[in-house]
Amino acid sequence: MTEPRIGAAMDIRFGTTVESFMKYVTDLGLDHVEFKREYLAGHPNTPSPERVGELADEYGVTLSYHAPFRDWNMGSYDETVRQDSVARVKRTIDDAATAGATSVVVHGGSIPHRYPEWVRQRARKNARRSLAECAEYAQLAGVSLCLENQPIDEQKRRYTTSPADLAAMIEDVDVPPQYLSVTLDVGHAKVNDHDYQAFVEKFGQRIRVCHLHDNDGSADQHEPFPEYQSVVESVPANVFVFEMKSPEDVATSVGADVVAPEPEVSADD
Amino acid sequence: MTNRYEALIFDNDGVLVEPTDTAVLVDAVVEAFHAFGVDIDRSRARRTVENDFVPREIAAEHGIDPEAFWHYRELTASLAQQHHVLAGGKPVYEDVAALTRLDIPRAVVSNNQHATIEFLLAHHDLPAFEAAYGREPTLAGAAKRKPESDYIERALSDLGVENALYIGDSEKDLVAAHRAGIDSAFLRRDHVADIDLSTEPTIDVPSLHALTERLSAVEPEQQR
Repeated sequence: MTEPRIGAAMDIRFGTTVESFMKYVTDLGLDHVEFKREYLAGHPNTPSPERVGELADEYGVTLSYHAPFRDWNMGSYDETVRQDSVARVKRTIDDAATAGATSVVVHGGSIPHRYPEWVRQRARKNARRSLAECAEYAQLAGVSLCLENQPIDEQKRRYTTSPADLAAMIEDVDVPPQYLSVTLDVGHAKVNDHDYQAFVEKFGQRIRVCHLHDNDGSADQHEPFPEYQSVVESVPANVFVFEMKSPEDVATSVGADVVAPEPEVSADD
Repeated sequence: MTNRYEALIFDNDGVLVEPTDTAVLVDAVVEAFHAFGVDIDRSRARRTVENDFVPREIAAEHGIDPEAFWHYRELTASLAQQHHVLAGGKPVYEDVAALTRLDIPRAVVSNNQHATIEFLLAHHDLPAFEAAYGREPTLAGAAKRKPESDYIERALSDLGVENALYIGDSEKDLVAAHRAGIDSAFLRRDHVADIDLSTEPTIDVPSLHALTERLSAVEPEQQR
């Protein structure tokens, strides 16, 4: 296996441009960037996927994309919402392929706990069906769709919070495994009180992306994670991505003294 | 233009012979599940046929070994298609005869079962093909079907060529050709006349007559 890439995810709260974030990441000694499609869509100066690919070449970084997760639910029992959610994942797959990214991170959908059992069952079925449709599309595009383990939500049932649940979502989907892989989020595993090694034992090489952040076990806090090296050494992922709340937290995680880029769009704009 | 290619590789269904009636394959899926003690809803069986996927989830729901089921399903589907052909189904397109005008090695690579392809080639009066591949009746064989390029690469190896044209009628065909590193031709027959493609084919033609003319045309530099 080639040396894994280590990088950071760009967040809408950062207020930076794609280029300034790529420069910052490389100044930190990292070589990968993950883009959340919604955040790219929300920025006033978002480059096209073609331009994102060109910038990645210029800065020598590899790319992954994160499919939408706000105002979105591919497990919705409303067929219109479900189809729209699938279409948005497919558009992200298209953008990823155009930019030269090889992985697209995706969430598995959810349903409120308070809803009746028949609705919850239908929603899970829909989530799995949507995932299969997206994975088939990913196979055509030559991109790997990477289903992420999520934190437990008190209000909503999510389908990927444990190794067993996540496995149940992907194991019966009829695409070669290289097109439907796993994103292991070690912060989510910790807040759910799962040893992340349980995911490694269950999925092994099928883990392509690993999200890095920390918490105290009480909430999904996305805190800096200076102890990340042990994860890099024990998880067989292709890329490791810091998912932080600020660019400064990425520097804190890697122990580098690099000034973060000035926000171009402030939180109040 | 034929000189551009060392060989032509064809998809089968929708290119050489008409696509199989969906009902024939739905019947086969229903029958296969029934053989494993499961009465499957016909609309569910139809979805597995229309999207051409291995029904792993349905097998898991009923505690059926997916490998054993798939093997049986593939044999059932192949036999059903063979009966369908003997009854006059899946006729050869009239323009297939035009291919004999091209003096170039030919092969078939299909997502249909290998047994079905072998039967069709033996039953119909088709031009000679030097290699023919359909999917093997296993889960591993299913995983290699287009858009993966495995079977096209095998055909290229059998023919001993690298520079070939793959002729198909679906997006999967174009992607598989691209992954095999060869050019593609999209055959825009009536059943796919209005389809929008995400992958651009090298050639887009309405019939094998048109394809034959394109490939027979003398390129400008050859005229000089």
